[in-house]
Amino acid sequence: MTNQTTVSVPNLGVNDELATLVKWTVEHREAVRLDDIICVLETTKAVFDVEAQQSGFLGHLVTSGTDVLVNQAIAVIAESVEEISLLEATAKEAAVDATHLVTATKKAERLAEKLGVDLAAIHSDVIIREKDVEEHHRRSLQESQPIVLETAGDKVAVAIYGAGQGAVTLHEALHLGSDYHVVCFVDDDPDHGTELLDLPVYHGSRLKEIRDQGVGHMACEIAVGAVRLEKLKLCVELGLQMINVIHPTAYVAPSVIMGDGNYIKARAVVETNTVIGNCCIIDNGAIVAHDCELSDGCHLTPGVSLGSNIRVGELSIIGIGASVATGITIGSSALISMGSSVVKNVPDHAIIEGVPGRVIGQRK
Amino acid sequence: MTRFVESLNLALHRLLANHEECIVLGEDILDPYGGAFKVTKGLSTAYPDRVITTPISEASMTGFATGMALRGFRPIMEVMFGDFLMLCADQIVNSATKFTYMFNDQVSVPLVIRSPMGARRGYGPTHSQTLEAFFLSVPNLNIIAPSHLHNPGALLYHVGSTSSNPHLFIENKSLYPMPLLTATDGRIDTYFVTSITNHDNNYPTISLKLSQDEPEVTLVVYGGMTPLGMEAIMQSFLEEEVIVELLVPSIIKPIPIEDILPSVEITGTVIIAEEGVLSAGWGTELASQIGEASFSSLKRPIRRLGAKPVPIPASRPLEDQVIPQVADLVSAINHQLDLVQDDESNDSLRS
Repeated sequence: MTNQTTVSVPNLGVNDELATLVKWTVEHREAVRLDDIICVLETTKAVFDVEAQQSGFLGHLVTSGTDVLVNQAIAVIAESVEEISLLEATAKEAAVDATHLVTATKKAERLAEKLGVDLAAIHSDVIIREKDVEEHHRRSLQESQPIVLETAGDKVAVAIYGAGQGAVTLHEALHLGSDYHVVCFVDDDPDHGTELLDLPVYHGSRLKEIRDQGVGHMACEIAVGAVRLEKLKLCVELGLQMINVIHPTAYVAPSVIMGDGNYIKARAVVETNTVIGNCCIIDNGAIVAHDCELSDGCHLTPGVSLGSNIRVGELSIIGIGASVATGITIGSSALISMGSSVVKNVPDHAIIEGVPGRVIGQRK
Repeated sequence: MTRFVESLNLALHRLLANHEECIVLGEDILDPYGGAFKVTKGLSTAYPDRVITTPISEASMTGFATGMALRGFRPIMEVMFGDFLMLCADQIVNSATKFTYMFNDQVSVPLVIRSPMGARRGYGPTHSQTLEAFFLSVPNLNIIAPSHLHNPGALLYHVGSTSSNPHLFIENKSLYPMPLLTATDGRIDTYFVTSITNHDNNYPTISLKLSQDEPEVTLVVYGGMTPLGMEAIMQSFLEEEVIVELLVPSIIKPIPIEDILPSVEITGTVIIAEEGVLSAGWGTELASQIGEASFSSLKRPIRRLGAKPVPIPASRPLEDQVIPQVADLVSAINHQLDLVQDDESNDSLRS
């Protein structure tokens, strides 16, 4: 490189470590003469003209309006325009490298090197720690290994979709009976770890592999009704059956008709001739009297009381301890607040609150 | 991105615009100079009747402003360097803060004294001090000391428009050119940020952590020590994965103890770092209050850091040896957690 000088931010005053480059007075790649004013800097105290220390061609290193530090290089004066182009190319490369910066603690870096983990592969908006590297390593090991499931003996093997508290409840319920045996969990959230209750947790994308290992049945207690229905659809596509789970202490009348993927929990009561669609949850102690109709994806939360001949639309949620009078029709995607008393038909998407229940809003 | 000094300047403009009774006074504050640190830039041009340049007498200035406050004005007085508050001290201690009591509530003194404190500029022994500690025991005086994590302009506006008793508003001069940092979705870069207002909604304490997991150490700083606190907790996290909760109050008298105790109850390990001299400083008062309120949560003695008891040298490298540096804070964190066994702790920073 020939005679190139760098223009740096001078120390403009004792108070400031920062200045704003207000404007360039000589454009990028333009010719400049000795003593020409090339840019204007502003500090908290004053405005300052920066002069060229030699003649040549000016290459900008920062854009106008940027805050710059004292001693920071803001421009170069080169002997030819070609040199400026060369500079631009190297500057671009440097910028690209900067975007690959990953922040990790020293312990994380050391472990990553030891285990051969690429820190850039760990997507995180917080500083990566040793335990994050460990978890990532464990998961990629597990993900790269074939699925090995323990045998269910003469019981039916079941995989549970979800790995939160709902899944743990389901697991307990299934093992109270003697028909089913849970062999693994499946979850879409990478933060759910790789193990639950001494059973493996696999990512949802591996459901097909699990099926190929001979698992034909799924159970699901994901809180959001719409997601439960999605998972049911997925199971149907893959040829898996989503079972109905009925707790031993629940009473379900023999004439009750149910679809798939429903969960009737401890001490629930479902009376004569009631029809239930798919993926409903009848929670602890909920009572559904005779001749009711529950559409797909509903959730009757603990202690809910339904009289007879009631219709509940798709994806509606009835809050804890609420009661619904005989003959009422509740629309789809409705929300009945805890403890409310429903005495009038409920429109789709309505939010009901109070005794007697009143429409207080709409669900989105 | 608003800078600390711009935020203050805007607040003064708004105070003069919205409150007829506001007066801004100080030495050399008229345009075009606009004040030694430019905080008062533009004010005398916009409000010539209410921006007063004073003679070089801090005692007179304070007496004058106290008198104006007694007469229903809201004076916002600038003392050019916090070191000069010593010249205002008699007026503050014996007049301004006592009149309401001495005259049985017949008068109020809504006087605001703004002043830059702090070192790291090589300004020498009488222009670099941090002297809030001298005023910590004065009854009826409040002290606000914002950092760049707060909104200093909003704080100044609140004090200037609503105070009914004398206030010191301390601005650390190293913060003037710094851009204000505001949290987006509870984050500033990789820091998790919360605003604690148990003490007073108007004077939040900002909490910074590098992990959502429970912190092991509580580090309390204010004003100009804030950038050092932020850097220290980052270094501790990167080096040893130590989780330190940094607490930065905006009001330092009265001490917002309700904002600080919840963290103490979790960590039981406290470090207080100030730029003022260690002995009988702000940390001393805070440590006593924590000990009284939360003794059973403490797992180890509270550790204070502050400037050595010598005049601040004019030489920049020597200045750095007198006031706490990031390395001193990190070393204190390590020592509290027994992460190092050496004797190299800077014992002269402790008394």
